This record gives sequence, structure tokens and C-alpha cells, in this order.
Amino acid sequence: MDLKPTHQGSATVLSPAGRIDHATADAFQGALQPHVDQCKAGHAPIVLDMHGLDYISSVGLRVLMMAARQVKTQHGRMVISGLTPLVKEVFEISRFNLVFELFEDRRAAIAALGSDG
Amino acid sequence: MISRPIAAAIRALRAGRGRWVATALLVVACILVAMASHLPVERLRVAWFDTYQKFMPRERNSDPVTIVEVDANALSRFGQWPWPRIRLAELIDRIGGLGALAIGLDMILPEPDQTSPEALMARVGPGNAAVTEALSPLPPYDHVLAATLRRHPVVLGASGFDAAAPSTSAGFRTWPMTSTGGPITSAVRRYPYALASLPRFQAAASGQGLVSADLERGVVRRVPMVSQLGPAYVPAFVLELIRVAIGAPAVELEVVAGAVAALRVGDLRVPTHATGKIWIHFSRPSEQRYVSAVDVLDGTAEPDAFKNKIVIIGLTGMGLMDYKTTSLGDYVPGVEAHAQMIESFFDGRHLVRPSWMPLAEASALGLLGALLIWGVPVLRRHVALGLALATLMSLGAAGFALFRWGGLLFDAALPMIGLSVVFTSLFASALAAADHERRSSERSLRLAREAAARVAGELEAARRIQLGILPSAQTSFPHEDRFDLAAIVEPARAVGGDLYDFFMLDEDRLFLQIADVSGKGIPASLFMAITKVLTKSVALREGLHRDRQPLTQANIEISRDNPEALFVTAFAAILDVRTGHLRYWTAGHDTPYLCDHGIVRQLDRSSSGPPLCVLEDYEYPEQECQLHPGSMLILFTDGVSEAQDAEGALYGKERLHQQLQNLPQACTAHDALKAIQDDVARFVNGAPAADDFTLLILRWSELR
Repeated sequence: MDLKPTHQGSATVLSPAGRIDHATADAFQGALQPHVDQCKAGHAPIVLDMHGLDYISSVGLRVLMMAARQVKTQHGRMVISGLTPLVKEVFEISRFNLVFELFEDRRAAIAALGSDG
Repeated sequence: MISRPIAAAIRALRAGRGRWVATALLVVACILVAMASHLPVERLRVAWFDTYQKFMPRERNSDPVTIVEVDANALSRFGQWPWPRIRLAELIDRIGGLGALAIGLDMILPEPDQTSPEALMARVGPGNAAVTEALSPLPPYDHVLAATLRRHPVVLGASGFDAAAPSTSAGFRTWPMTSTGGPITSAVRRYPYALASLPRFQAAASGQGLVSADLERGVVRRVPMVSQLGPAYVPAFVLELIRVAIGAPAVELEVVAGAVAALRVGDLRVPTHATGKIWIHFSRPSEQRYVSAVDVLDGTAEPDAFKNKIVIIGLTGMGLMDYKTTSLGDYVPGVEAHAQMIESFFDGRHLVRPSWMPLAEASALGLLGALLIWGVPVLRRHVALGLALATLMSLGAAGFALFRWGGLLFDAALPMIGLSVVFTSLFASALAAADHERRSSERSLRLAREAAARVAGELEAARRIQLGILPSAQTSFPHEDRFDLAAIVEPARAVGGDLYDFFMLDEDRLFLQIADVSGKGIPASLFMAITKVLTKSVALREGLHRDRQPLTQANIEISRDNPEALFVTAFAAILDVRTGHLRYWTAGHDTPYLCDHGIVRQLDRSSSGPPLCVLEDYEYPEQECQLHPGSMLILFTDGVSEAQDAEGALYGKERLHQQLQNLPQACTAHDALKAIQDDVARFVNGAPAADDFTLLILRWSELR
């Protein structure tokens, strides 16, 4: 899965698109992992911009959860932005909005990271 | 079981698809072919050459030779052999008188005539005056014959011997052979002794040559055109006949690089093997060659048979024992071989086997063998067989063609045998390889089937166990009339990660749960089992205290043993079945629908928490809700709301909502479950389920 990484401000912006389900979760995890490994204290934070993501299943959530845990132990920072309505509902039902910092869109996420950093 | 040496041999055959073994065999075969003339296998080669002759006997074009045969008629007419020399002299005189170019005697006259007058006188004794008087004017018969020999162009036959005998000598009169090309170093047939006619005859004859040939198992095939007698080279009888017939001064030896290349008589050139031998190309025997000595002596013979012909006098009477087998397998008088040789010389039909021929044969074998070694392992079986047949046939055809049009003796037999051996070896290893492949694929197929059967069996067992740990809605509360339950789990695979659960905490409180482990299959199913057991034990323990919250404690316990970082969405509730009061906790799970007299809504999830195992120390807030009699609670997992059809479209909560709204007022939990299940089935229309499908439906009834 191509995450089309870009650097905006101090952040690395990753843009998963399409569906993250049983069929694509491994590819998503493989693509995400190198960025997660780099996401340490003092390094660029990650913005997962999900405006192009149509669907995420619980398996995709698990990938996000493991990434969040790793980032947390590395004292890095990873935020999520731009949830589409269906994905937003998944996040609300599963309460992953308690696990991640969510932002309305990419600009808001980068702004928040900038002001915090 | 195959014994170890045989197994090792099979491995060796299969190594490199059998190419190594085949190459080794080919090299050995090439060496054998190149050296066959020194080996017993040469018999196969000459038998092959005989085959050429049998299929293509020499056509008789010219008719230069007439054989005057001392046959059975002549013996019965003129008496026993040897005849008195004057009879032989008369025969020669008659033949000479008919205009023969040369007269050959295929016989040897080493002893004086015992019927000669002086011999008779000596035997009778000097005392018999009458006999002495009658015989003494007569000349000795040997003198008569010698005089006849002197008058006509006669060539005597002589024979070579390897061992001395009473009549043999170390040499005989020869007419000088001239030689071009230097000394001979090749192995010309050498005879230490010879048997020749009386010196008187030798002195009177015009030529003399050897009639000897080494028979090969009784068959005459190769005849030396030049032999060595002591230090001297002597020509063959037939060459001397031709020399005398055409009046050439000498038979010439053509030597090239120490080897005999040919013999020449006048314009005639007879190419030979390096040893000076020729292969005779036989024609079918023909009666036309023969004239009986009786007819000659009676003067009744056709003059055309003698005029300007070479005439050979030979013995054909069966008692005289001079019979030979030809390459054609014909049993003919020995004299016929001489006649046939002269015929073939006049027709220019020479069979040659150049000294490079064995090398050519070995090379042909090497090339075709290499072709097989390349081709057979990679070609399909019948194509490989076709290639092998083609190589064999091309060898055979080349042999016949070279014989027919070149007079070349190309041995196809030994290379064909060599090719067959190489092919057999290759084919055997191909078969061995195919057999091995078949066996190993059969074995792996069997193993795969066994493994699949085992896994299927184990998965089936796991499925039974997993489904078995879930309570049965129909049988759990046989006499309960305050509520009614229906539940189903359909794992997408053999085993799944969804679960539901219900049990009474005490007389009045019913515990309900539905949960979904992130993931599918075996890992999820194991985690599902853990979740089910831990939640139940926590619920039973904590549920006794009305202020405790089962999910908070279950989260702590489940998170403790979770190396795979799986998480579980869950909804748990406790219903007071007397009052309809429902307390519930939500861990990242979609809240159930509540159907309350036509009004369908989802339970409030504003105090929902994250899935179990996401945040270890999360306090799941309690929420509550009051059911009314006849209310129906529908607990579901996303296998229901996100069921997909073949195009990937989602069933969706809107449709689920609609379906619930359409339920009749008085339907049972089981009816509701059936209705939802059927509608989802209609929607997915046979598309394989991507996720586990779980429904738990509770209908709370009025108190009675």
C-alpha cells in the first residue's frame, strides 16, 4: 500500500487510501512500519491523513493500535486527521477516538503539532 | 525395499538426467568402434557388410571370364582327378585354340605325373621288354604339358602356407612387381612357405600368382591382392591373369605413406586396404560363367565363351572339396571367387574401406550420441524415441547409400549398437526420473491430503469445541417465561473470533454479552475462548456486588496475557428480569438496537469505552436503560452490519434498522433472528462471508 509520504512543516504526512480490511491490513502495516520506527522523541511526528480512506475494519484498527503503542514507547507522536463519515463512525463506535488524537483535517493536525512542538 | 547397490545405480542413472552415465557409455562405445578391427566385435561389422551385399549384390555388366569346370560329368567321362597331364594339356590347347586371352589354372601341380610313360616303366620294371618298347618312344607327360604351357598364355596358381609341409618351398617363380611410393610398412599378408607347381611348369608358364585367401569362419570376404613370400612381394592369381591377358610387363604396387593403396595392371587400378586386401563384391552365382571341360574336349563348346576372354580352369566336382561360402551366403566353387573378382575389376566395382573409416564411424557415433544425450532428457518421450529411431535409420541409410554409390564399406552396425546403448541408458534414466517424480508427487499429494484431513479434522474439532462453549439459547432456560433468547454465531472460517454469552448471575439477574476479537481464524478463536472464560468468571465474581463493573475487571485480566496485541470489542449488560432494568457497559462495540413497540433505536453509547486490551486501566462507565414488556434487544457484531455482497457493498445499519422496524409486534426472539439472518442472506446472495456473523436477541416479557 502506497502511503504517499510527504513532509509538511515538521511532520511526516501519510495518506492511506481505499480500504483497510483483512485483505490489505498486512500491506498497510508493512508500509506504515518504517515510518513508525522513525517516529521517536525529537523526530518528525506522523500525521495519518485518512481523508482518502473509505473503510477500516477492526484488523486495521489493530494495526493502528500497535503503531500507537510503539510510538508511545518511543516517546514519538502520531495523530490522525480527515476521517470520512464511515471511518469516523468506526472510530466512534470502537472508541478509538480515545486512543488517538483526531483532527478535522491535515491543516489542523499540522497546526496542532506545530503549536505543541 | 530396493537394495542399496541398486538404489545407488538408479541415483547414478538419474544424475544429470542420466547424461553423465550416457556420456561415459558413448565414449566407451566410440573407442570400441574405432578399435573394432582388433576386437571380437568385428564379426558384427563384417556380418553387417554381408548384409549390404545381400541387399545389393553386384550387377554383372561385363562377362570377361569363363570358367572351365572339371565337373562331375568330366570326372565320370575321363576318370579320376588328377588327370594325366596330357589330358590337361589337351584342354589347355583347345582353350588356347579358341582364342583365350589368358588361361588360369586354379590348381597346383606340385608332383610329377604318375601316369606318365617313364613313371609307368619305372613302376613295371626294366625287365618287362614289351612295356619298355611300347612306352619308351612316348614323351614324359609333364614335358608335353610344359610345352603346351609354353605355347599359350597360362598363369599358374600357387598357395601360401604358414607352416612347412613335404611339398612346400620357400618361394616360386614370380614375375617382378614394380612399386611406386616407397617401401611398404603396413601389415601385408606374409607366407613363409608356398606350395607351387613343378619348376618345369613354372618355367613354362607366363605368370604365377597366389590363390590363397584367409577364410573368415568359412566365408571368403577379403582376399590379398599382394602377399609377401619371404622377401618378395607376389601378386594375386587374378592380377597375374589380367596382366598376362593384356600383356602388361608387371603388376604395379601403389604405395602411399608406407601403406598399400592400390595395385595397377596396365590401365586397371584396384584400390586396396592398407594391407593389400580387397573386399569382394559378389554377384549372384551364374551358370553362364561355366563351361564343362567335357564340352571343351569334345569340341562342342561355344567359341564365343573363349574368344578374347580370360579362362580359368577349376575344379567343381563335389568330391574335390574346393567349395567356399561367399558373403552372400552362397556355397560356390572356389574358382568362382576368382572369376567374380576379375568381373568386378572390369566393371570398375571396387569395395573400399579406407583407413580413416573407423574414425568416421566413431565420429558419427559421437555426434549422433551427443545429439541423443542433448535431446532425450529434454524432449517428450515419444519425440525422444522418434529422434533415436531417426539417428539409427540415418546411420543405416548412410551405410547403404555409401555402399551403393561409393563402394564404401561404412560400418553402421556397431555405431547403431552404441547409439542404442546410449539411448537405452538415457531412456532408462528418464523413466527412472519420471517414476521418481511420480512417486514423489504422489507422496506429497498424499501428505498434503493427510495434512488437510488432519487440519480439517482438528479445525472441525476446534469448531465444535468453540461453538460448544457458547450456551444454547433453546436449552439454557427451559422454564423461563420472563424473557426469551435467540443466538447464533457463524464463523467466516472454521473457527472465529466472535462470541456471545448469557447466564444468570442469580435468580433475577441475567448477564448478556457479545464480543468481537480483532482478527479471524485460529488466533482470534483462541483469544475469543480466553475472553469468554475470563469475562464469565469476572462477571460471576464481580456481579455479586451491584456496584462492580464487569468489563473494567475483565479488561485488566484479558490484557495481561495478550502477546499478539489483539483487542476485543464487547458489549456487556445485566438485566433485572423482574423489572426490565438494564445496566450495560460498552467496550468499542456498536450498541444493540432496542425495539420498543415499533420504535427502533440504538442504545446510547455516549459513555462507551475503547475495546478491551486497548487501554489497560480504563474504567468502563456504566449506562442504564429501562425495557418495557415486549421490548426486544438486538446485540450484533459487524459481521451483520458490514456483511458484503459480491460487489463489496455493505449491508449497512440502515437496512438493519429498517428490517427491525418491519418486525411484527409479537414476534419471538427466534423469529426476529431468523428474519434478520434471512435478509442478510438475501443481500449477500451467496458471496463468501468476510467476517464472523453473530446475533444475540433478547425479548423481555411482561411479568405474569
